[in-house]
Amino acid sequence: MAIKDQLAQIVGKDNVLDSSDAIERYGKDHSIERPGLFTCAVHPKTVSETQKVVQLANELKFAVVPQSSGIHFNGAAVPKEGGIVLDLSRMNRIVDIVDDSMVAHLQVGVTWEQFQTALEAKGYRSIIPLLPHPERSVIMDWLEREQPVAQNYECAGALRSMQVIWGNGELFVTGSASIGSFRQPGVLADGIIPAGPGPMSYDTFLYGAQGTIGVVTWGVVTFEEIPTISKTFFIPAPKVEDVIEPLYRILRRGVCNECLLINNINLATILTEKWPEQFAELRKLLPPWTLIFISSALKRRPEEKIAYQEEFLRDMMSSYFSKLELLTTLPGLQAVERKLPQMLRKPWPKDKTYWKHAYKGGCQDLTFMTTLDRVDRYIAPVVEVATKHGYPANDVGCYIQPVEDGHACQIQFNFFYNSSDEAEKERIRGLYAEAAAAVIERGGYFTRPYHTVPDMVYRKAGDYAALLKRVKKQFDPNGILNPGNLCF
Amino acid sequence: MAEKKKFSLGVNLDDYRYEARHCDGQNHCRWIDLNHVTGVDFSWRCPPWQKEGFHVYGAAGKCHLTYHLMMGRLDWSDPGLRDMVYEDMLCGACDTGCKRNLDLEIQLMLESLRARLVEKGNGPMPQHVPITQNIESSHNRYGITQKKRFDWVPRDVKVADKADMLYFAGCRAAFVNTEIATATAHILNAAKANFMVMKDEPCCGHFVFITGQMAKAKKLAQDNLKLIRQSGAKTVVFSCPECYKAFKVDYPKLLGFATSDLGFEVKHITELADQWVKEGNLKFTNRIDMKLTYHDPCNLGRLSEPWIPWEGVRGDWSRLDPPRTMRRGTQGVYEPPRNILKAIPGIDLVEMVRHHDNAWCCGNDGGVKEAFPDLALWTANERLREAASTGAQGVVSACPACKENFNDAAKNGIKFYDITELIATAIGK
Amino acid sequence: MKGREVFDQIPEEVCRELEAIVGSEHITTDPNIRMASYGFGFGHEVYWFQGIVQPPAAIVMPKTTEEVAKIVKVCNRYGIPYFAVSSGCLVTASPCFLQNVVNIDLKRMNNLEIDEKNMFAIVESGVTAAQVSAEANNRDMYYVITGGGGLVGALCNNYSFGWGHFCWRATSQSQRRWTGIEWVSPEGEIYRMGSLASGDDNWFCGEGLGPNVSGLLYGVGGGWNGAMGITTRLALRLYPFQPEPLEPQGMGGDSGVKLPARVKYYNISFPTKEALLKSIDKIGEADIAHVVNIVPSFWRTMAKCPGVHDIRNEFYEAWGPVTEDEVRKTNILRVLLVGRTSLKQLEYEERVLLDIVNENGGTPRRAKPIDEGTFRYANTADMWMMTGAYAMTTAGFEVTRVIKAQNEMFRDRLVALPFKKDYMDQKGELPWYLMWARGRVRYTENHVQPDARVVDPEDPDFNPELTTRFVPWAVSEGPFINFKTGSVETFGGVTHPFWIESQANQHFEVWARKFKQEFDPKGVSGAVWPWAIDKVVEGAPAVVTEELRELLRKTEQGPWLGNPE
Repeated sequence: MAIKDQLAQIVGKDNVLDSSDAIERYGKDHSIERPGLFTCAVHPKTVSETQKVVQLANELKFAVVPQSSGIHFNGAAVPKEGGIVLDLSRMNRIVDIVDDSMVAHLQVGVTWEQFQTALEAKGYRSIIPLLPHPERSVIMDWLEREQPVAQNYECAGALRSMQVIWGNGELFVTGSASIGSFRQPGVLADGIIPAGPGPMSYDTFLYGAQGTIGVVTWGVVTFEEIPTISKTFFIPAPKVEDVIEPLYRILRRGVCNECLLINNINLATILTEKWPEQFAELRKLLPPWTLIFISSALKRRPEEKIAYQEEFLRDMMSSYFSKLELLTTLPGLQAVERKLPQMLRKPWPKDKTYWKHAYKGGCQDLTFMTTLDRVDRYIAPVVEVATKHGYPANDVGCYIQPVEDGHACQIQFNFFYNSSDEAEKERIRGLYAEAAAAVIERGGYFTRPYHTVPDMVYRKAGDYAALLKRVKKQFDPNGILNPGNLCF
Repeated sequence: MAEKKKFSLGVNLDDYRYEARHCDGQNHCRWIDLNHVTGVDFSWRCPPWQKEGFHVYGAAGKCHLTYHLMMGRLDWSDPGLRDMVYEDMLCGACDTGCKRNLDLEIQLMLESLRARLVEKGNGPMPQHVPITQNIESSHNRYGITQKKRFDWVPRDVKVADKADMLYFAGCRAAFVNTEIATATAHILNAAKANFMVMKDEPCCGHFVFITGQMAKAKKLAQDNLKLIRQSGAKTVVFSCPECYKAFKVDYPKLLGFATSDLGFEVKHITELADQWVKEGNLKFTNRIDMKLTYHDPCNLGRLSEPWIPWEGVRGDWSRLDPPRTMRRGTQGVYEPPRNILKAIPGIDLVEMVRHHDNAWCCGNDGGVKEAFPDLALWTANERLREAASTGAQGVVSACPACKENFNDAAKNGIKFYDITELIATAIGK
Repeated sequence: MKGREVFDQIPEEVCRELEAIVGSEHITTDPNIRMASYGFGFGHEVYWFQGIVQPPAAIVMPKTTEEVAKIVKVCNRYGIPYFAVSSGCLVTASPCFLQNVVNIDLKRMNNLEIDEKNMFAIVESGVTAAQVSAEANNRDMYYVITGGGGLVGALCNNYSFGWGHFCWRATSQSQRRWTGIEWVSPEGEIYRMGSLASGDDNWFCGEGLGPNVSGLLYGVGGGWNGAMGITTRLALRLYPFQPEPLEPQGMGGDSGVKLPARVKYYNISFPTKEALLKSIDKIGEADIAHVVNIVPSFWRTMAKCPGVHDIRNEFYEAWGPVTEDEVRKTNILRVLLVGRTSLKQLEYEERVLLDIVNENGGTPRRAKPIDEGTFRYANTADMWMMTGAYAMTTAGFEVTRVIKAQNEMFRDRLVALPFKKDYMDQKGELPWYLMWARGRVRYTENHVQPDARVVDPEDPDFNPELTTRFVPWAVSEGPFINFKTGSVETFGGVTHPFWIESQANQHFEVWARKFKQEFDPKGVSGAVWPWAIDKVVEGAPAVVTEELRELLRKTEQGPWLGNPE
């Protein structure tokens, strides 16, 4: 029997898609990754259907490329060696929202918009990266190592226990939800502990794995309360180096929830409502760099909390950084200080073009990790590479996300381009590869290696790549999961 | 349960089975009180363990060693065993560390371990024999004629023929570090404390005791106590903590009575000097402009608490019956020396990281200097390094044994003083 | 070599190769040293290892990762098992259960470097938690010190347990605090993980280059107990604290550190347990506090013993007259407030705390302005003081309702136990709680305290009947409670059989064995894996009670409602 027919027996004929539309839709994403060919897309509804698909793939040795939502930005879910696309977006139930533990049990297809709506109805908010696409999978964003903008919710990260179908087709649950009687009456666990079971942390294998180790079907995700009051602060600066030291202190002393450092073009794309004229104005108006951070307080004595935090900030600025300004708004931007907390605690609105695509239609991100005191190593070299490839220097977007008290940071460069112009896309490919090489040369660490980066980093980290392959072989002995990604 | 077996505190190793078996490996015997840890450096309390590395050189390892010896799994006659047991100053740091949390008598177990080795004919170390012989034949550790014992007494010191107070100089101060004896005598005179000395002042026998030769130590104790009692002294004052501890703690331990039953008071010169300074009987007229740090001698600090005999059983929940008053090392002579130094004009007194009950040993006890000179010097050097880290120009202690070893150690520019010398200088002597 | 050279277990040529690696001063086969070097902590205090714990055949003390790797390669070549020890302290000192084993004592690897700006410490295996903690405190930071206390090896403890008081705001998942790993695989290859993997000397990020292989090294509880190679250097996250110095003071049991103005302890008593538990929730919701915990009454009684006499007697004099009613009415919460931002933050948090306390009928008391080593070093000696031993039936962590249920179940079952007089009378007290993740995760340990001597087969007072009824209870009680409530067993493999945990939790043992086979094909890493508890059960299957077997069957089979089909 043909593969498609066998798949149809598992998920139903209507859920096996191989039309040219489907091939086009599933075979590419919003990145510079070249489109990939594959046999068909498969749409399971249940875990057992999904498991059977993976088991069949092991039997017949075809590749499986998991996709959780329709929105991908990094090329990882573009099929590179054929096979099938496993679209999990039908598995999109919010199974439970547990108030007393502040955790939610989500299937992998649950999107930010879905999750945020459900949480808001109950007076909660999600821990969230910077303005994610509303139709992105919550779980997948965490697995891809997006960083939360709010820095004070560290406690083991938002994603906890998960269910996974390993590459060999076996079902497993990581973390404390692994108890066989999970959710049986009387068994009270919520799956809040991510590690284990036993002597390994299986969840860590799945982060950054780009679907090569296992297919996650559901996860437990924490959420938070909506602050009662918030106060937004801005420190504008001509150079990024100017705000690094204040940032270290702000994070060290714990006076903010959300915190990000962003350049003018990125901030302009986020704040622009009327394209293109307002954008042009904003990018001129906004300072080259803005450190944005939001102090917030919950229900008890909220004004007092904001007051002591603000007092600290003002003392700090006047004592140590008198050449910089601490602002509570941005000149020329009406009510931006009230707008930003609202925005930063939600996904991007569904009815607006995604902010990264609003400028030119396409955007390629280059994302890596470093420490705040090394940030200045990367800006100039990457901009230089950009201009070498004909990309305007002042169009290079940059967003720096401090991580967990500022002990590290994620830098993301954004290169905007016309996604329907193949030549421009090709230039971006060249730019990306060379910029990535410049970053690697300067010690930037790619926890999310995409496109040409895997070749570069795994060549340099040969031992680690060898280890990864040994691990992968255990979980996916036939190598069916998303081959052609990472070092696999 | 088997009939409860009585046991007592003393130097019989069989009475420390509980200690040997119930060390649970917390390792407070190796590291200083956690509240006093300020970083990686100077966080250790056990010199032999830190230098040698293997567990057997620390108290926890010795507990296991002792237990296996008791159970017949190791050979008492092994010379290597002897070396491991004796490569240890018996400074009491492990005992104090352990007793912060537990009630194990580690020091007594270690003393008894040596005693058992000697009984079994595998101790003391060969290097200890000549000194023991000196003590037995010449009544001092050096083998010098006792006729020279009081050559140290300067002409300007008034020594009474008979007095309520007896100054016991000890071998080291009498023969080698005579400046200590001289200074002590000046202090006593300055405070108008009438004192006598013992014409036939013998060795206190600390060395014999600490090397596990208990039968000999017991005889010495009996003889020495008889001499003191015959002298009629009501107070015996020491400038040597080894002698001080011998009389105050080890004689009662060996002979089975409490310190309070000695029949006379036992004082270190710093205890008296502190009192006299407070009463105004000792006045400091000269300045000493120096930044100094004080080194607590083990035998004056943690090992000098009065001896309290105990005999009983272990009952339910391994409770001691009757309850035992514990000697945890926190009631030693710590403050008097410090009070004195702070009262001397000009002295800027700073503490090392390891002070009071956490003090690092100088390296000169337990027969280590004689049998393991490398360890003794290494230990002293570590202490001097710690002293230098405070920025102090000098180290003060209150013990001739400490002085001897610090002076022998590598010179890193830091000076060493006995407190008696500083007091004497400050009072104009 | 140090001491006498005796090659009764490992051939001389092997020992000479090891000697060539570490130098003569740092290797021994002397029987005295070997016999003195085993059986720490769980070795004999937890009596069911009687006769199972073995002394090592040789002890080597390497100084560098490269030396460790060479030693491991020699052991692989000759097929000789090895196990590593760092501080050799307490629960985390892996006992050795095999003969002819090389003990790799990592004491000499005691370098510590701190990146103050980016808040991490690079520790070698021989560094203790107290050392890291003190160095961190000197620099306006704190280190998540664990319940094993200050003298555990900082590195190895992050691989075996890694949680403690400080997890109210910092993660309890120690592997998330690793930011750089240098690992000697069971076969002796050196691998670097995290940002170190790319070959630069970058220790700041523990995430993987793509997937994070460091998940191989630790999950929960006892971890591999040395059976998955040796990590020789690890970078650990430190956390912002407050900049004022903590001044040591006092001696012995009265020692502590004087808390600066920006750090304050509160002891708060509540009229009922419900009021106390509600207040904890409110404290979490208010997003205040730095440490929140509850200790059982008997530990508090222990802490108050002056130590003039032996503490055990002082304890029983004080605890003896206490009634169950008094215990029920004693509901004390400890809260540590830290003004991380400023003194004003402390004052703010105090006001909020007092609001909550007042709303719930509590009475706050300022604790002494010193820390006796609780929040900084989690001095756990009290566990042993009461009877000389304790038996951990289980620990657990998960959300609040789970741990509450676990503790209540444990207490009720203990009260109903026919042979409860074998143990110190806890008088209906609930076990202790640590609160983590701002109150959303709780942790507990369920102990009983038998007399150390009566459970020791080598002691004249050994009581075989007591031990016979105790062992099955200790082995089976904990897992029963864990599986019934869903709490995560955190000492799995250490206190009860690995295969039981595994059956109830996705048969993780199958995966663990696969990885063990993959990375340690000769099976030489760690002195027996899984731990000897499994051997005990193999030899005496009746220690697994019928009650547990039945629950295990049900747990394993489901129906599993975690799958919303």
